[in-house]
Amino acid sequence: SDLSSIKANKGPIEDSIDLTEKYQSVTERYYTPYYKIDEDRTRKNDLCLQLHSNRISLVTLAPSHPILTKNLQIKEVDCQVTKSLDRKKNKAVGKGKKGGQNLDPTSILCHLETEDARYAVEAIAPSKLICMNKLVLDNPSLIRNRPDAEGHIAILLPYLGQIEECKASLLSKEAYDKIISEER
Amino acid sequence: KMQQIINSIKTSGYDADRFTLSISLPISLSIREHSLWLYYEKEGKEILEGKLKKEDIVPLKQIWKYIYPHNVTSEVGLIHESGDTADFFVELVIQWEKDEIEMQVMERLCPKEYKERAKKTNVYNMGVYSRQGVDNSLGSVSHTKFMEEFSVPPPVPDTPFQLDFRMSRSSIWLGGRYCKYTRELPQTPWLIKGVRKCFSSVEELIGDKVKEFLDCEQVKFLASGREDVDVRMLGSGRPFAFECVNSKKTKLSQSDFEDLTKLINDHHKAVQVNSLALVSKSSIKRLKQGEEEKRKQYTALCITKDPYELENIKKLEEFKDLVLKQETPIRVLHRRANAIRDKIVHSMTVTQLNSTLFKLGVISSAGTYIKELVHGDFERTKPNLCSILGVDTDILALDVTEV
Repeated sequence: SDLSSIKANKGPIEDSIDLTEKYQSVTERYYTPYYKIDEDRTRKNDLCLQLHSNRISLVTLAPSHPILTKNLQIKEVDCQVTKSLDRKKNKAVGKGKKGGQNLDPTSILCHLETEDARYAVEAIAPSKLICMNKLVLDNPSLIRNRPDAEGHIAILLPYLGQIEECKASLLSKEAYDKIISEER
Repeated sequence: KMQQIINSIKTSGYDADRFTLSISLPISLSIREHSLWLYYEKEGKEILEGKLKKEDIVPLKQIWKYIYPHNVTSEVGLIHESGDTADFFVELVIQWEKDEIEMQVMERLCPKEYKERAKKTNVYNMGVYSRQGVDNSLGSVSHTKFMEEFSVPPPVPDTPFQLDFRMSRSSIWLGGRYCKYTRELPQTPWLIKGVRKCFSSVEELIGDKVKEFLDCEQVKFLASGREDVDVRMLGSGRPFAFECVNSKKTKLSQSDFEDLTKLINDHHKAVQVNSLALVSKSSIKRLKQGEEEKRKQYTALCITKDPYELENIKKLEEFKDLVLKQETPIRVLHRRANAIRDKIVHSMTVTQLNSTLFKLGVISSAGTYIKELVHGDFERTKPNLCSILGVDTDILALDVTEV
């Protein structure tokens, strides 16, 4: 495309966009989902990495997770991962997010405590932790009600050099949908 | 050769009426002046002793400055001014092929100093020798040592000098306001890892024409804030300025401004400028201050998940100076620190379009992220329209209406 394809539009705002285009939520507009499904298909601790076009990522539950499919109540979001490591204490300072906790794909961000089971939420991507979502720490039901928006669990910045490899190891939406529909 | 240079100045196209002529001489001149001084000291000892010091001798360059430029003025047709008052500079450069070789005596006279400088390539990337440096170094060299390494009086150069010249201009600043009538153009060139994401930008669409019209070497873009690619800039436009480096044309008449405006505006209908003027360097500071201090006005096209009650939406108009706590929006979190910033929404107006669509007018403090004011950015911005209205609200389009 070139300069001639750009048109000047001086009209009112409601005439300056195509209102017939299908509405996309904030998550759909800016993020691409990548799925990591649990090897244990009875436990189904399936997670999703929502990758923003600027590389910042949200860790969320995948739609096939029991907390969502069975509408389970989350009693607590436990960020004390080991005796000495509390994810809540993470501090990522400045533009470069200096001091942010270093995460491997299998590093545990937190545990979700439900009535019958304790689910470990993994980081999914090799990354720096920017912050745990304070909202869900105080109000765990957001994870169940708004999983890919206000109910995201953590915000990470995946390492630039490793992001392509990471994406290749995860499932695209198409692949994920296929596997899940075949399970039913 | 001087005649050639004079002709080049006359035909250069620089619209100056004043100029400053300077000369750059080979650095080995410093060594030769030192050598000559030692010779006079030795030979004229009885006459000079106590009466004359090296510093009393007027340097060759200074004498040239007193005499020469005035000879050239009438031929060039420009008034000569010394110092910083003129804005057009002509520098004559005298080069001598044996300069570098003669300079090497410095390595023998002050070995420690010059060997060290040779190693520090990024400090001394323009060359290890400078006039000032050599003069300082020579001050610490004893007469006997100097005479061991360099002949006193200095030898007569056996190869001719080369004369070259450079012309340059002080930068001028061209300011104005621009409007952007498209949602597909970034303000500045958009590159990701060196690859263009969009083929042009507001900066280039205006800058290319400014560069062409003023015939300058380079243009540098400055603006009072910026808007996203998908946001239009309406109203009287956003203040901007270009620093025009080494431009041939610096005097603009009323009709020149009109012609330049037309040249830019005809280039692409989606980018239009107005109020072009030459501005001083100090006004550039105000450009940047405005970015941080001035209030901004916006129109947002908003959509609700479920049909809203007009009464409910109209309540937004009652807010005066609403304080927002905005945590760094996720869409800029990759390049900004994760912090909470207070912003103020001074007032809002609401116009219904249909049962789920409305127009929101906002006047807010500088730096307020309007998209996040509407959808809340997963509640990282509080309060937001979703929390105030009690219904999921999102933004479909944004225009900046006043800066």
